[in-house]
Amino acid sequence: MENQIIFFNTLKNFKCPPEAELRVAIEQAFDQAGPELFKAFIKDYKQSVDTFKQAA
Amino acid sequence: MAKTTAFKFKSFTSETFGFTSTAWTAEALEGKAFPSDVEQLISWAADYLEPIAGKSVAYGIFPDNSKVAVAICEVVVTRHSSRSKWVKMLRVRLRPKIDEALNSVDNSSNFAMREALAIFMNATIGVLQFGESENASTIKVYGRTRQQLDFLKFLGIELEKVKTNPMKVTMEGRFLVVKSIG
Repeated sequence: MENQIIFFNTLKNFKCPPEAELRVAIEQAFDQAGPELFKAFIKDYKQSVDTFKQAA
Repeated sequence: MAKTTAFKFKSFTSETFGFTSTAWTAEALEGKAFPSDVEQLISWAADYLEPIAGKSVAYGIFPDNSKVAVAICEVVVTRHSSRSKWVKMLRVRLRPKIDEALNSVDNSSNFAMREALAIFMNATIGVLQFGESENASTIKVYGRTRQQLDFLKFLGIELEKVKTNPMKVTMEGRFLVVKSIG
């Protein structure tokens, strides 16, 4: 019987970067996107619960 | 120089949810938000305070030493397969008085903008840290509208520049998808 090699497509567990580096990245994203786009982004979360049930 | 408030992403207790519910409802009744809108959100959150696999959970963003949340985040943990677990952040809702200030045309808008950014920052970092603690393989951030997706693209570009524990970030449908690499 031939040896069978089974490859598992292993998914890595997420390893969170340090908080300080994430803060810099998010601040940079805000600077690049601009305040108006960020404001629109936050405002658009005020939607019906049903919308988010679909996303879940 | 404006003082920066420190925030924490954490689950609600019955006490902190009670304080939050009372404060948010009062602010809505003062005209800072649609009362029915806040009532619907609080009613939803009341049913989702405990984590249940595959169901949404309401987390709060709290200023240090405060029992009133400045934002409510909807997070859901789903098991995509036996080796793949996803943590998704679906929305971040601001406290009515911050939301109102953000939309005003006077100077309070600038302060509220910085506060909203600090809240979103803590929500995002909180959900990434939560994903690690849950042994998730993938973290997703939902964007419903075109503008939300546009902002998430900027966020993805910057997250990929992080050096420690580098991440691969893609847009898949209406989600920003974050995974560890290396």
